[in-house]
Parts: sequence; C-alpha cells; structure tokens
Amino acid sequence: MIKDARTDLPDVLEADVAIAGGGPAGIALALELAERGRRVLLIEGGGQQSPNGGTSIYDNTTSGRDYPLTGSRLRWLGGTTNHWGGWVRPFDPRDFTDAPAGDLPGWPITADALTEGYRKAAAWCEVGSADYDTDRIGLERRARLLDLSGTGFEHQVFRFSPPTRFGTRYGAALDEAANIDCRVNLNLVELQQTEDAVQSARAVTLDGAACTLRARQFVIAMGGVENARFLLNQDRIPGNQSDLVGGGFMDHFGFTPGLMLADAGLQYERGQIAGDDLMTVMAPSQGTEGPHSCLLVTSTAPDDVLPPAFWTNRTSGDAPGAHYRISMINAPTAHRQSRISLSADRDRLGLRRPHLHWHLPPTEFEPVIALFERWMDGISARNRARVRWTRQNAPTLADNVGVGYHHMGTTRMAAAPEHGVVDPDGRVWDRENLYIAGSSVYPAAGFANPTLTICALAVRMAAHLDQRLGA
Amino acid sequence: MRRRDLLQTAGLTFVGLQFGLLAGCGNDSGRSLAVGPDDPEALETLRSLAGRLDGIEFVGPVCVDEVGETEPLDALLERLRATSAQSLENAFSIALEQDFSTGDRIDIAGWQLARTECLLLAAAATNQGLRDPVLAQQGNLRFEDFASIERWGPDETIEGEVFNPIGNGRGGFWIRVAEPVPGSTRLMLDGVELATHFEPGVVTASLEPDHMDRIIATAGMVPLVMVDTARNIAQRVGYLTVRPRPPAAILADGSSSAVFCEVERWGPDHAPKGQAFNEQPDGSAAFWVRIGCAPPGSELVLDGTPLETSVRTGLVSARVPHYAALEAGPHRLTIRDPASGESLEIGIFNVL
Repeated sequence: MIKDARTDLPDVLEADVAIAGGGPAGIALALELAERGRRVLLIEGGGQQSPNGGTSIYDNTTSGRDYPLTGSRLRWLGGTTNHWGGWVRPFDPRDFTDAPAGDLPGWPITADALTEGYRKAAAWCEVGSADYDTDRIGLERRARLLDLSGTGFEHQVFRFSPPTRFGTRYGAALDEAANIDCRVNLNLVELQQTEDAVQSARAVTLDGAACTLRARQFVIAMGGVENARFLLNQDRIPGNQSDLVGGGFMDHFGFTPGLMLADAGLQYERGQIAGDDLMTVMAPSQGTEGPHSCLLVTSTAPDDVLPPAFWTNRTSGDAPGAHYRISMINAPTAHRQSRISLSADRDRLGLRRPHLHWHLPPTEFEPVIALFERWMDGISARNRARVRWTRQNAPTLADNVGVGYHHMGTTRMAAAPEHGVVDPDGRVWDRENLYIAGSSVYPAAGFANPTLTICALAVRMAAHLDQRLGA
Repeated sequence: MRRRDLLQTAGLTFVGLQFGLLAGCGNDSGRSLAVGPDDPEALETLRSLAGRLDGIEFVGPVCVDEVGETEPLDALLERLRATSAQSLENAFSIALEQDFSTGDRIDIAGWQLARTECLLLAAAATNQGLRDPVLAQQGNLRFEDFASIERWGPDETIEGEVFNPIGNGRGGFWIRVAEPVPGSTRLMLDGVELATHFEPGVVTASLEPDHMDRIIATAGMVPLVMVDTARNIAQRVGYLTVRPRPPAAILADGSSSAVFCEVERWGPDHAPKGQAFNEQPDGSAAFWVRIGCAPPGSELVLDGTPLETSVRTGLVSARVPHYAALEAGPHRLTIRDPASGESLEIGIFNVL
C-alpha cells in the first residue's frame, strides 16, 4: 500500500525491514523481500510525482572541478530512474578483480557473486536479454564493425532499458503488496543507535509530523550522495571508523579525443542492428594497460583535411570511407579527498546540507589519453582507420568535463573495515542491523552504467536479509 | 504564414563533395603492387600509385614540407626495402605498422599519419602538381529517399509553445522507420542539425532551448529534413506548422490567463443519466476540449474531482470513470494548471 505520510502517519511504523529511499535500490529490495513474505516498510522523502522544482532539500555546494550536483538528483518515487537514459550493462569480471588506480582497494566480491542478481536485474530494468557475450550474440557477424584483432581492444555492448521509471512501473506493485507499507513524503532524519546496532529511527514530513520506525533490519537506499550525507548527519556516524563515509566519490567522466576515418557504414550506434537493441563500444582487452574505459563511435560529417576519398586509396582503406567521432566513458578512480562532507547550512529537516569536493585533476586524464593513443596506434598500424587526435592534452580544472550523473563510492564496500564503510554483504561494518544499498557502495566502477548493478546488489541483499531474518 | 523553401535547406553548409569522389572508388588500375621492393619496376610502380591517390589536396602538400625529402619516392623505397617483404603491398603494410608502433607519426592538423605514407603523399602531391594545402570543398546536398518513414510527429504547435517537451526547454520529434537508418543520419529543422538518437524502429531528435525559442517565436511552416551526413543526401520528412497563438482565455475574475488560450469548443455538454457519453473503446465516458493552448500538466476537473487527462496540441481530453454515478443536474467542468494554480471555467455539463 502506498500512503502519503502528510495525511496518514501513525506514531510508530514497524516492519521486518525498514528501507529509506524509493529509488531503484529501495524499490527492487522492497519487492524482492515482500516476495519472500517479509514485512517491509519503504519510505520515500519525495512524493509519487515530480515536485516540479520543489527539491530545495537537495540544495548543496561544490568545490574542486565543477559538478552538476543539483541537476543530477531527483527526489520522488523512482529516484533518478525518473531521468535515466536506460543504458544497461553489468560490470565486467575485471572490474571486480583488477586492482584499481589510487590507494583504495577494489571490490571484495567477484562477478560470480552477482550472477543471479544480474539475471533478475535484467527483469527489473525490463531489458530484453541478460546476454552481453559478443560471441553468443554474434555481434561481429551481425554488425559491420572494425576488425579489432591484434589491437589490444575488443567490442562490448550496452543494452537498453525502456527506460524503466521505477516509481511509475512498480507503483502498482508497491500499492498492491499486502506486506509492503510504502510511505511517500516521509524523510528519514535520525537513527537511534547503540554501540553496535540501530534500535529505531525517526522520520518526519516536511510539515513537521514525525514517527518512529521500528524494524529488525534497516537499509539506507537514498542515493549516492544522500546515503553518505544522512550517515554524516548522525551524532554517531555509522561505519566511519576509517573516515571513509563520504570519501571516494566517483562518477564516470567523459572525454572526446578525436575523429576517425574508416570504412563507411560502420554500425556502432544504437538502433543499427535489426532485432536487437544494442550499442557497441570498444574497450581494452584483458591485459591491455590502462583504465577500463570504453570508446564510443558516432557518425559525423566529413572532415575537410582528410576527406573520405582518402580512404579509397589502395594504401589506406581501399574502400568507401566515412568519419566518426570518438568519445570515451572513463573508469573513475576513488580518492579519499573526492568526498561528500557537510556544510554549516541546514535544510528544512534540520539536516546539514551536502558539500561535494570533486577531485578530478588533469592528471586523471593522462592514463585516459594514453589509452586512446594505444588504441589509435593499434587501429592505425593495422590500417583499419586513420585518427584525428584533437585533444592531446588533459582538460584543465577550469574546463568543463561531461559526467554520467552516476554518484558512486561514498559508502564503499570493502573486505575490511579499515578500507570501507560496508562489508561484502552491504552491512555497515560497526552496526549489526544497518545496511546500505545503491551505487554508494561501489569501490570501483569500470565504464558500465550503475543502475543494473544497483538492482543486482539489491537482489543479492534481499536474499541475504531474508536468510538473516530466518524462519 | 511564412513558408520556408526547402531548397534553402539544400544549400546548407553541410557535408559535401566527398561522396561524389567515392563513386567508382578502388584504384585497381595501373601497375600491380605485387612487385617486390627490389624489383627494377618498383620505383615506377610507386610513382604510378602516387599519381592516382585521392583526397590528398591538403595532406599531400603538407607532407612535402614535413618529410623534407627532395626525392620522397627514393626515401620511401628505401624504407620498403628494409622490411624484407616480397611485394610492395606487404612492405607498405609492414612499414606502416612499424611507424605507428614506434610512434613515427606525422601530425597534420591532428590527423596522425605514418611517416611512410607521408612520403608517398609527398610524392603524390608533387606528381599531381599540388603546391598549397587546400581543404576539401563542401558540395550541395541532394535529395533522395533513403529511409522508409512510417509516421512522425509532432507536426504542429502554436506560437510560444514548446512542442513534445522533454524538459529544460527542449522538445523534439520522433520518426518511426521501417528499417534501421544509417548512423550518420541527422534530422535538420529549418537548416539546423538536431541532436539525433536511434532506437529500434524510431529516430528521435531534440532541439536546444535557443533553437526551440526561435522556431516557436513566429507562426509559419518549418521544413524538417532527414540527412545522411556521410553520403550528403537528404530526404524530406514534412513541415512543422507553428500556428498563430489564439487569444488568452479570460478568467473568472476578468483577468487574462497566463497559461490558457480561449476555449474554442468542448463537449459533450449533456448526457442522459447513467449513459457513457462520448463513449470510449473500453466503454468509459470522456470529455474533449478544443483549446488553443494548455500546459502539458493541465487537468480537467469535474465538480472538484481531477480527471485522468491527456493534453495534446489544441486538444485536451479526459476520461470520466465515474460517469454512471453522476447525479442528474448541472456539473461544473473546469481546467486547472497545477504548476501555476490557474483554473479556467469550461462550462456546465448537464446530466438529464
């Protein structure tokens, strides 16, 4: 049942599991637990529809490299799935196993731990297939692509969600589930804690009504920024034994290094392969030095320095040529100083507002540029393209850098408490019944968009919590 | 009404001559590159090859300066001989690979060419009499159907009204196509390229806010064209009609509405008790209101109860699921814009 807390709010709400945050993590987790027969309380700070600009709760400040923090957050049921583009891809096995750049460790789990999660996540995100194996898909047989053999790069694919707006798509399921109590316009503001557990929590509406939440397990699923902000706002900050709550903020960042002249009619873009909604990218193969970034290929108008006719020459392509823009989605590096902290200013709920310091110095682009150069030399050496290298230097701090609106890493998962906030199950290290769901637990991110993995982790967490709750 | 000439679009500074150059490509004529680098004919074969190279009007003359060789073909042949390959073709491939692998590249306006090929291009420029670098010329767009368009929209809006809004002042078009179109396809509205995206069976394109403001500022017909930028061909899609903005509606307090235009017609205005008026395919009842403008979030309200409302250009409609429960007598129908809070009287619906 979905109820508006502004008009219907008892003094106490009780459940087996209380989840704060009605984005993809919270909704998938609630419905997965309900399916297992658990009593779930799901609270969402926003309403069921867009507040049409009424998101002042999310006002913030930033420093470091410019970051569009306000516009990248949405505060109503469904969270940021209300504006996502639907790009879907699981993290690669190497994203879980490779040691990331920087001084913070990577994932404490392997891709195998999410196999079942990814299978069900494909259904949550309404993706037609969970298959990303390019051989099984027959990608290079079905699409006209560059021959990458011997270049150290390989083709990978993104799939697409409709995109599923989780609040709209699963609103009816939340409303009809007898064992889900979903309250909108209800904000989690405080945890009542002992040394090692959460006893209860306090939630309020914007007009001042309050209630106590009681549950055996509590899950914070409020988003990549808000999860850290909420924890930092507590008198005793859970999971902050290593000062990592808020630290390690990451987002996929973009870079457009140049153009390519290659065979005409290459089919990399979405919508080019009949019968399958795919987009193909190029990514470094296992063993190729550099970040696990990817290169996107987009058709563009002919260049006037090296026109398509050049490609018809026997010593180049010996075929009709065309130009393509090459852009990159880059794996971010987690840095402690890239972090969410609190400003002195408070919102209407009395919580201190977030301040983001985004640490993305020009040096972060050096391995990206080196990777591009590696690809460029590989593809040119095999005479499969010529490349116009238009961005040979890293953007300065004043330059605008494209981002994915993917807030990650601020309550990172780790194998040991000194390296993170939550354990491999998503449980806050020093609280036995407090969990964090969402992309804030990612310690590394590759180039794949986060939503599918958010859902996969939620599926995995549901199984874990169900087991912990017992018979 | 303004009518813009499609031919104006055809003359856009876009794409060019290059496609024409592709016709009949594949320079197979002339000497074979199967001869070995040590063959007495090798030099003449390279000279012949250089004479046939296309698309080198800019890079050829630059290579002359960059390689700084008075006899670039001799220098090239020396490189090719060093590969120990048995044919010029293989030797060239090996030398090219070595250049890129060792970073022996020539940078021409960002284009990364192998030193080996730059030697050939330098010889070609000399051979073809190219002295100064010349940028490739852009030619005229030509019209030819290349996509199978099934439906598209929207095809009309009114002055000042963002059509098919997608947020942040942007709006856009959708085009259903029977077959995938080339990735180099872009939609152009009034000669301006739109951000174009592809989904299976659908091409979508959006206007930047400034462009949108310009388009909807004046009534008229604006040509929408689909262009394959790689081949420099265009296909007419149709026209977006921007209709003159109707007069603003007058609110109950006598002031002019900031969001609603005058209501032109509406209906039904009466129905027998219990009857599904304006019966829909699923058996329910519905109101329709022809109104020049109404914000996308507008809702029809019957006796204070909001109805499930659909807003399209010039038409607002709403289902009345509780029609069977309406008592005999007058019922007040209004339209409300939740964002501005404005409410406009539509009329009285009588249940007989």
